[in-house]
Amino acid sequence: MTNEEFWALKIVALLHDPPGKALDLGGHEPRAFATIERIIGPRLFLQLFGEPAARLQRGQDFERLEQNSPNYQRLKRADAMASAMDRTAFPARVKIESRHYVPTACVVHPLSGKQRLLGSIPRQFCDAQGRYDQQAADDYQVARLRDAEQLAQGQPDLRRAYLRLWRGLPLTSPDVDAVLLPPDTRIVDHSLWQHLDATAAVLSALPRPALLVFSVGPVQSFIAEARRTQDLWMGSYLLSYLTWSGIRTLVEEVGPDTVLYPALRGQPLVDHWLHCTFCSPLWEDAPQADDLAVATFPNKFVALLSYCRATELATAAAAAVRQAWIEIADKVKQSFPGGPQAGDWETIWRRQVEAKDWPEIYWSVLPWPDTDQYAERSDEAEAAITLDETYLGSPPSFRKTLNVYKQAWRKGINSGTLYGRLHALAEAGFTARKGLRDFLHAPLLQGQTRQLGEDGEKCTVSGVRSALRPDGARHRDGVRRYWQGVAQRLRNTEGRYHEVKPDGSERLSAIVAIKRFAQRDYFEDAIGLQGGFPSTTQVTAAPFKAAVLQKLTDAALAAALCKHLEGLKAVRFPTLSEQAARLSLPHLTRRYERLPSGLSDLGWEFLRFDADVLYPSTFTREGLEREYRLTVSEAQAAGLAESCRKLIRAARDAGIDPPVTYYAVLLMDGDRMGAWLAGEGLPRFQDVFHPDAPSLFQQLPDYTSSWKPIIESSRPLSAALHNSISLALSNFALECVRQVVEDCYVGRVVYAGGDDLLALLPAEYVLAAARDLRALYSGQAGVEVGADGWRVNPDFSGDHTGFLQVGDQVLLTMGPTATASVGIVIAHHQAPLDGVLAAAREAEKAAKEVYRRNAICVYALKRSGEALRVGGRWHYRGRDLVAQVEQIRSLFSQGLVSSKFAYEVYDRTRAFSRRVYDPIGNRWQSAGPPWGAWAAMIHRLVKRHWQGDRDLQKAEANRITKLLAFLTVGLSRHRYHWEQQWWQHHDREPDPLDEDYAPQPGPVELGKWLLLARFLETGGEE
Amino acid sequence: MSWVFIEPTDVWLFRDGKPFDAGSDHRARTLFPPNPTTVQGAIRSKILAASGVSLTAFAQRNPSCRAVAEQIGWPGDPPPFRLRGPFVARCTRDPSGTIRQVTPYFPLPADVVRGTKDRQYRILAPLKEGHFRANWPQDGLLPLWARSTEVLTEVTGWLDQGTLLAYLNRASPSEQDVVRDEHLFARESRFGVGIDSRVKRPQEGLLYQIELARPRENIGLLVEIDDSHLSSRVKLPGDGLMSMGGESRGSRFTVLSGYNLPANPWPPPGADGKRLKLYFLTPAWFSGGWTATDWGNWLVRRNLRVVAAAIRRAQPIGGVRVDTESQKGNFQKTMHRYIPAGSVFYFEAGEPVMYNGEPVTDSVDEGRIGFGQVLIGTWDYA
Repeated sequence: MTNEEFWALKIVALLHDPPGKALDLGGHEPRAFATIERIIGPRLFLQLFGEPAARLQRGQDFERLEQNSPNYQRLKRADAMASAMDRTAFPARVKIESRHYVPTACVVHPLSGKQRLLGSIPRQFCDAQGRYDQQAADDYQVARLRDAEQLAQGQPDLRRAYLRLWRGLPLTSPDVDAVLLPPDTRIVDHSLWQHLDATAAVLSALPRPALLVFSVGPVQSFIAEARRTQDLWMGSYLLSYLTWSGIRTLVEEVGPDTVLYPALRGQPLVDHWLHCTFCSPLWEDAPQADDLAVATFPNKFVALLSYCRATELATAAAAAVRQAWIEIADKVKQSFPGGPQAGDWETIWRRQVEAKDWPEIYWSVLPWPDTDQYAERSDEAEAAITLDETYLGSPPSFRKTLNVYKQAWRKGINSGTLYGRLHALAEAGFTARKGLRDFLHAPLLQGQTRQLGEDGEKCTVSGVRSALRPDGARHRDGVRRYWQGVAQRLRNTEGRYHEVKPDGSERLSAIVAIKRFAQRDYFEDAIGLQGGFPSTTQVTAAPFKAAVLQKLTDAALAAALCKHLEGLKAVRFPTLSEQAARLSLPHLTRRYERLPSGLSDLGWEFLRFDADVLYPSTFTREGLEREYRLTVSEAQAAGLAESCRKLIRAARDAGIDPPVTYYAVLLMDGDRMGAWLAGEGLPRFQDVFHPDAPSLFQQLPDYTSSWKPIIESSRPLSAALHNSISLALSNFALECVRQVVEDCYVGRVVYAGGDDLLALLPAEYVLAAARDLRALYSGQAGVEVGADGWRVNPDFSGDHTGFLQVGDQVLLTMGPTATASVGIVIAHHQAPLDGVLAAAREAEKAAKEVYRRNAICVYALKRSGEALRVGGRWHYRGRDLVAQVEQIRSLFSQGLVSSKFAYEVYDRTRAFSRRVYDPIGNRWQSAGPPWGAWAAMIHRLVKRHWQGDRDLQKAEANRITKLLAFLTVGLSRHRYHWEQQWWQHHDREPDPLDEDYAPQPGPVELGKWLLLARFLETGGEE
Repeated sequence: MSWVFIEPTDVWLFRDGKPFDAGSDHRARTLFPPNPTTVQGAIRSKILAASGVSLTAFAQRNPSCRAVAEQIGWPGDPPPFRLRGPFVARCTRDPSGTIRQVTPYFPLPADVVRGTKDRQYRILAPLKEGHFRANWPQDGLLPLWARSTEVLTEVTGWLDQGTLLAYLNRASPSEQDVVRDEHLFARESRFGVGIDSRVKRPQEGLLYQIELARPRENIGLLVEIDDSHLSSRVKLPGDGLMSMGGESRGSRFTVLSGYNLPANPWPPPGADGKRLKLYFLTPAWFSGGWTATDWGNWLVRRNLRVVAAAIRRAQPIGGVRVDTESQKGNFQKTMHRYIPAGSVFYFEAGEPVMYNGEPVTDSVDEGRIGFGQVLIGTWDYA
C-alpha cells in the first residue's frame, strides 16, 4: 500500500459514518462516500474501490462493493471490529430508526449510566408537532460533510488533510448536543467521534492489530528532585514533553487516532504541533502561552498499531524521546552561563545527559490474533479468549459470556469483542517488562577496573550525581566558587537574577541544571513557553498582592506602596523578569490589567517584585547580602523593613489582612483508576441503552435464553470506554483545573494530566479549591461563567449525569460514581520543597488508605516541627465537609468564638473516644461518644467562648453544637470501618504503631479539624 | 565467626549523598538500613578504639600501628576480615535483659507482587511461551509472570527468615507474613538552627531539618564478622557502646552466641537443581550495571543462562570519608549504582547449577564487607 493510499483509507475510515449519522441512519453511506471521493480525488477513489462514488447509491451497490473491493472489505472489517471494541455489536433485528431516536434523543454517561437528554436535537430535527424531520437531518449531514470538504481543501497531501479533519471536524458542529450524538441509536454511551477514531485506528492496524504500552520515566524521583518551584514545574513539564515526543512519532507515522490513551484532541502540545509543524497553517487556533504552561501528558500511553510495524514504531518512539532530551540538553548547554567547558565539566555533562538508560523507557507489544488466519470472525474471538486463558488464567465465566454472545449473534463477534481482556493482557505484559529496571554504567575505559561513577562534590538538589565543575575543582570550595561565578553571570543578564543562588550554595548536576534552565533556553524558542513559575513565597502572599491591586485606588495604600517600591529601587533590589511578572500568577495579571490607567505603572512595578519584599524579616543587612548580594547599611535595611511595615499597616487600614507565611501543595488523584480502566463497576448493558431498546430486545424470540443474561450483565470494557475516561480526564485537566486553581484561587498548576493533579495554592483557599476540583472531577457541580471567571457550586447530593454544563459547552466528566482523593500539605513558605512534596504524597496516600478514598487529608506542617494530620470524606450524607469546616472557620474569622475554643474541644476529645467490649467478637471496639454528654460539652464550650452578640449566644450555641455533632457522627465512621477491616485481617488488638496509620475516633478528628480551621484563620500564627 | 546485634541508644542518621552544610540545603534525609560500608566502618572504628592504638598515628599510617592494621586494614583500604550484613533484626530478651533470640528481616523479594483486589501475594515466575515483545535489555530474557486476572502491583515490606526460606521454596507469603517498614522503624524529623560559631548565636536563615531513623523497640542491625583471624587484642568485646553513622550517634552492640543464618539446602528435595534463583540480601555492584558480565564467577555449570530478573530501581551508594584529613578535601566518595537488596535473578542450565558461596558482586573488596550476599532458591516456569 502506498503512503497516499494509507492516508486516503484513514480518511475513508474517519468519514465512513458522517457527522450526525444517528440523525439519518438510512442514507448516510452514499453521501459520505461522495464526499470522500471529492476529498481524496476521483483517481484515487477509483484506485481504492474500483468504481466511482456516483455508482454507490443504494444498499445493493455497497453489497457489490463488499464482494469486489478488498479495500472496502478492509473498511467493513475495521468498522465491525471497532464496533465490537466500542459497544459489543448487537443484531440488526433490534433497531431504533432515526425517526424514533431523534424525538427522544439522549446519551448515557458511560461510567454512571445516567441519562442526559439532548434537548436541542428534537428542537432542530422535529417539526412543530414533534415529528421527525428527515429533510432537516439530511441538511445537517450535508452541511457537515461540506465542512469536511472545506477543512481538507487546499492541503498539499492526504496526511495533512486527514490531520485537519481529525482535529477540526468535531468542532464544526454548531450545536453542542450534536457533538455528543452516538454512532448507534441503541447503545448511547459513546460518541460517533470515538467510533470513527477506533475505526481509523483498526483500519491501519489490520490484518493483525497489536497494543503498544509505552512509558517514560523516572517520574517520582525526577519530579521530587526540586529545590525550587521552577525545578518542580520543569520536572513535570519535561516528562510531559518527552512523552509527547514519543507519541508524536506515532501520530506522524500512523495518525493520532492510533493513540487510545491519553486523548489527544485539544491537548495544547498537539495543537501547537498541528499549528507549527506544517508549512501551511494546518490548524488556525494556536494554543495560548498559558495553555502550554501546564504539563498535561501522563508519562504512559497506549496505542493500537499494526503488529508488523509495532516494534519499529516503539523503537522509533523511544529514539524520539531520547532525541528530544538531547536537543533540550544541547540548547541548555549552549546557553549555559558557566560553560560549556571542556575536561571534567564536559565529562560529567556527557555522562549524565547522554547515558543510554536515560530517560528510562519501557514498552511492550501484545499482538492480537491475525485476522487473515480466520475465515470466521468468531474464531478470531475464540483465539483472543484462548490467549487470555493461557496467559491470565481467566475464569470460565469470560468464555461463557462469549458463548452467550456467539449464540445470540455470531456475526457480531470478533477479536474486538475481547478488547477488555486483550487490554488487560497488554498491561500485564508491560508490568512484567517494568519489573526489570535495568540500568547501565558508562563504558569501562582501558585500564579501569570500575566504571567512572559520580565523583567529587554532589549536586545539592539530587544528591546522587556529581555537580558540574571545572577541571581541578573536586573539592567543595572549588565547586562552590564555580557556581558563584555562574550566579554572577546570571545576575548580569536581564531577568535571570533569581535563577541560581548567589552564594554558591546551589551546585547543580547536568540533569538538574537542565530542569532549572530548560524553560528559558529551550521551551521559550521551541514552543513559545513563557514565564517562570512563582516561588512558594509568591504563592503564599498572592492573596495579599491581589487584594492590594484591587484596592490600589485607596490613596494611602498607593502612597505606602509607592514609598516601599522607591526604597527597593534605591538599593537595586532585584526584580522578576517581565515575563515572570506577567505570567507566573495569571490571577494577579488580571487584577493588574483592570487598574485605572493612572495606577497602571505602580501596579506593574509591584508585580515586578517577588513577594519576599512583603515580609519585613527580609530586610536585614546580612540577609540582603546573603540572598541578594546587596550591600546596604543597617540604616537602609531598617528603612526598608519600616516601609514594608507601613505598607502592611496601610493595607490593614484598607481592610486587607497582612501576608501570611504558609502556603499549600495540593495533590489530587482519581480513585480506583485501575479498576475503572479494567472495566470494574460499569453500568449494566440495559442502563446504557436508549430507553426504547430493552423493550425491543424483549420482543426477540431468544430473549430469555440469550439476550436477557447479556443485557442484564455489566457492560464489558470497551475501547470507547477507555477513550471516554481519557476524554473526561483530559476535559478536567484542560478545561477545569486552571480555571479553579489559577483563576478562582490565585494558585498555579504544576501538572494536570491523566488522573493526577499537582498545584500550589495560598493556604487560605486550598480547602475550597480542593472541594471545587473534586466536585468538577465527577461533574457534581454547577458552573456559572462570568466576566471574573468561573463560579463553581459544588453539590454532592444532587442528581448529576456526569455531563458538566459550562456556558455553552458540555464536558464529559468522570461522572458521579467516580471519586477522587486529595492530599494537602500546608507548609511554611521557606520549608524545604522536597520535604513538603514528600509530605504531600503521604497525605494523598492517607486520604486513600486511612480515610478510604473519596477523601481529603491535610497535613499542616508547623514551622515549630509539630505536624497535624486530619482528614475525612468529602461529604457525609451529601453535606459538604469543607463547607462545614469553612463555617467553623468563619466563627474564628468573625471573632464569634475565642481561638481557645478549638484547643479546649481538642483537649477533651480523648475522654469521649470510647471503646466498648464486644462479647461476640471477643474484642474491644470503638463506639461513638456518649452523644448527649458530647453535645452538652460542645454546647457548654461554645457558650463559654462566645464573643459575639449575647442575644444570639444560645441560638448560635445550638446551631454550632448541631453542626459539630453531625460532623462527629460522620468522622466516627472511619474509625468504625477501619476496626472492622482490622479484625478481618488480624487476631490481635492494634498497637500504637498501627494507630499511627489509622483514622482517629470521631471526636479526635473533629478536634483536629477545629485546630486546622483555627490554624488557617490565623495564617499559621499562634 | 561472630554475629553482632547493634541497636541505637537514640536515633540513627545514615545520610544519602546530598550535600548538607549550612546554607546549601535545609533538609538531610536518612537511609535505613545503612549500606554495608557504613557498618564495616563503624565496626572497624570500634575495634580500633578498643585496641588502644593512637588514632592519629593510625590515620597517618604510622608503622607502630602495623600490627593492628594488618588485622583491620589501613584507613581507606578494605578490611582483611569478612562481614555479612547488615540485616534489620528484632531481638527478644529475657527478664534480665539478655538477648535470647534474634529474628532478622529481609526485604520482600522483587518478584513478589500483590493483587490489588484480593490482596493476595504471588511469586512471579518466568513465562516460557512469551507472546509479547518488549525492549528487554538482553536477548532471551523472559517476562516474570503470574496467571491472574487481578491487577498485580509491586509491594514493599520485609519477611522474617522462615517466610523467606519458604519463599525460596516457592511458597507465597501471606499478608500477615509481610512486615511493613513502620513496624521496624520510623522516620522522624528534627529541626535545628545553624549557629554562628564566632558569636555563638543562631544564624539567621539557617533553619534546617534532619530526618532520622528511629528503629522500634528491640529492633537493630545484625552483622556477621569473620573474626577467626583476629587476635584477641583487636576483637570486639562481648558488648559495649559504639558510634555509628552521621553525627556519630550512639549505639549498643552485643556479640551473640550460638546464632547463625539458616542455610537453604541445595538442591531442595524434589528439585533437580537445574533452575536456580538468586535472591540478594544486600545490594551488589556489577560492571554491567544491572547484570554481571560473567555469572560463572559464582554459579558453576556450562550453558548457564539468565532467564529473567526482577530488579527495583537502582540504588546509588557513595558516602563520605569521615576522617579529619579527608574532610578537609574531596571527602565525598564516588557514587555508583547498585542493584538493591531484594533483587532476584533466574538461571537455568542443562545440568544442576552449583553456587560457590562467594558474595555475588563484581567488586571483590565490597563482597568482603557485606555486599552481594545472596540466598538461593528454586523455580519453575509460570
